[in-house]
Amino acid sequence: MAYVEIRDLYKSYGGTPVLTGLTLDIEEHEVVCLIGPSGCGKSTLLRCLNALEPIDGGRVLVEGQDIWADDGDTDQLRMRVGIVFQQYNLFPHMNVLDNITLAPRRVLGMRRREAEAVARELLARVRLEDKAAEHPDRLSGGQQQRIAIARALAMQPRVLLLDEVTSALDPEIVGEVLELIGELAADGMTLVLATHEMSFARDVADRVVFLSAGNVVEQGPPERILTAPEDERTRQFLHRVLAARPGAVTGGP
Amino acid sequence: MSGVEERSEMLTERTDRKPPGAGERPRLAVRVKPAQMAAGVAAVLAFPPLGLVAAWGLFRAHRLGRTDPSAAIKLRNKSARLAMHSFGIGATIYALLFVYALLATNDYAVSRAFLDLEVLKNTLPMVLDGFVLNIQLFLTAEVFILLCGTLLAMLRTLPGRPAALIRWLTAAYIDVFRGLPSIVVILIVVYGLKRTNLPLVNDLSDFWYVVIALTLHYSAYTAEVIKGGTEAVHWSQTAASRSLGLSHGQTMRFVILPQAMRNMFAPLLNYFIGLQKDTSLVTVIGLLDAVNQANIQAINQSSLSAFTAAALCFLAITIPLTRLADYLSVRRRRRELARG
Ligand SMILES: Nc1ncnc2c1ncn2[C@@H]1O[C@H](COP(=O)(O)OP(=O)(O)OP(=O)(O)O)[C@@H](O)[C@H]1O
Ligand SMILES: [Mg+2]
Repeated sequence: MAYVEIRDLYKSYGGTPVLTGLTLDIEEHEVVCLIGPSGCGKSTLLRCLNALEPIDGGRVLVEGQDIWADDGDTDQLRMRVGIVFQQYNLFPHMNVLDNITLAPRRVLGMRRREAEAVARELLARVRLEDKAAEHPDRLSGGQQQRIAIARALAMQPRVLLLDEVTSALDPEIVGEVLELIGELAADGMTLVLATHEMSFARDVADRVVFLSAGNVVEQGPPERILTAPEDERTRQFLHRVLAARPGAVTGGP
Repeated sequence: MSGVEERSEMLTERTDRKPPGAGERPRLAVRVKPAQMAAGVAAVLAFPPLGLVAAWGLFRAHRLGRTDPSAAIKLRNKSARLAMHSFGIGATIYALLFVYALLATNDYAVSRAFLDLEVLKNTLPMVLDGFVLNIQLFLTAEVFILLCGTLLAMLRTLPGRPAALIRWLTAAYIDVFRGLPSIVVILIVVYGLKRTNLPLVNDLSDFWYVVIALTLHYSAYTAEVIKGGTEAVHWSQTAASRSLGLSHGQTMRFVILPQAMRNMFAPLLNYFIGLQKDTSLVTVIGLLDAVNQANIQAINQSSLSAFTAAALCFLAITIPLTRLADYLSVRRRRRELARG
């Protein structure tokens, strides 16, 4: 049994279908990259995995339990699945430490001192120990994104969903965030990331999933999907990405 | 006219002059803008001594425009500023003259009626006595209004389909009480509740009936302000909070309301000011507030100056509050600009 099982997932926004009977498994300690053209439903899928969006059909199982079951505890299950957003979404009215300790204190019932100790450890891990008292708007985008990752990790999720976490960043600071994600992957964290960074996907992913029009078209190990795709739509997509950014797949200059 | 605009205009003028082989492209003539012309006219009408100088400057700037653009712009902007100054001076003089005329016509009839210092001195203590009731009503009602308003706003924004009926009910409540004049609510509550012999509320004093009525009325407005304030916080904040496992209520309390608060201060303060004035409506049910006291004194002393005493009481509270509300919204706008 996979850690996360997505079965025949349907989701539409006001009559427009976005996810159309999508089925996908995520194993523990696996790093899965979702790729696909803009609007194919990557973000929507991640939001559904975290129960941020109600779904219209199908099931999402975490540890074999349906996150939307009437007799289940949605909040409990979604805590196992952390999410980091493209725009960081830090709480602007709190300093970095409070951003990280809010949920552990209010949801897990940790004492302030205990939560702060955990937070400082996480800050060290993302190499921002000295920013604990800073407010988010005084930090760079890359620093904010690393804080957002630390905030998600503070809830000790079993799976971390990352939605294009480097798309809003300046090219020269993309590296620091990717490096951190690489470390998480090396530590055995289960990761599902939507990304346009093909070379990063090739380096870090165990499996690449190509989505189109709200469904899985093709999936497999990165070297196969990125260099020898079978489906015509995958080929066209990679072709367009390559045309826009030569070397994106092969990790050239 | 800001310095920046002035400078940038001079720059465009310069670049226009640049190509040495001019002739095919006509140089832009400096024009006096319509608003500047209007300011000139207003200045002449309001305060001719300076206004004429300003208008003459504008006229010369117009003439100069074809020969020396940069000098023309300088003269034009200077004259326009002068025009605005003169307009302001003139308007102030007219306003003062108008007030004086009002007080002085008919052999000072108005000043005798409303500004009899003797009467003011005699009535002010009693009016102030009544004003204490206004303040008590205001402060007591405000506490309940904030509590009920917040509660209503929270109910109004409950998520999910099962809460639809609750949302609908609170919306209906808010619509009804926002739509009624506060005096009607006061009359219905005070005279209505007293007659009905309802348990719990039948032996309250009139003071508390009025507090109930004002709370019913103003909590509807307050709820709308709070709801608007929370909705102005971007939904991604809710997403981030919920994804960390916080419940809807916790998200409201720790994430949304603290951010919404900043946007709510100024509009809430405006309703406080309205409430402060509306406390005087208790006059109609016979409570002795500042206005009712003033009314009695006006009859006793047969001078309307007693009402002036009441007016001064209210202004002493409402004007500082108004200034504060203004200051807060200006500061908020400045912060938003700074944040970009
Ligand atoms: N809240 C919403 N309301 C209505 N439509 C939405 C909403 N969110 C997404 N959509 C639509 O759903 C489709 C899929 O959106 P989604 O954000 O999941 O795409 P994506 O694959 O993440 O794209 P991108 O690579 O641009 O981020 C799009 O057509 C989008 O317009
Ligand atoms: Mg997306």
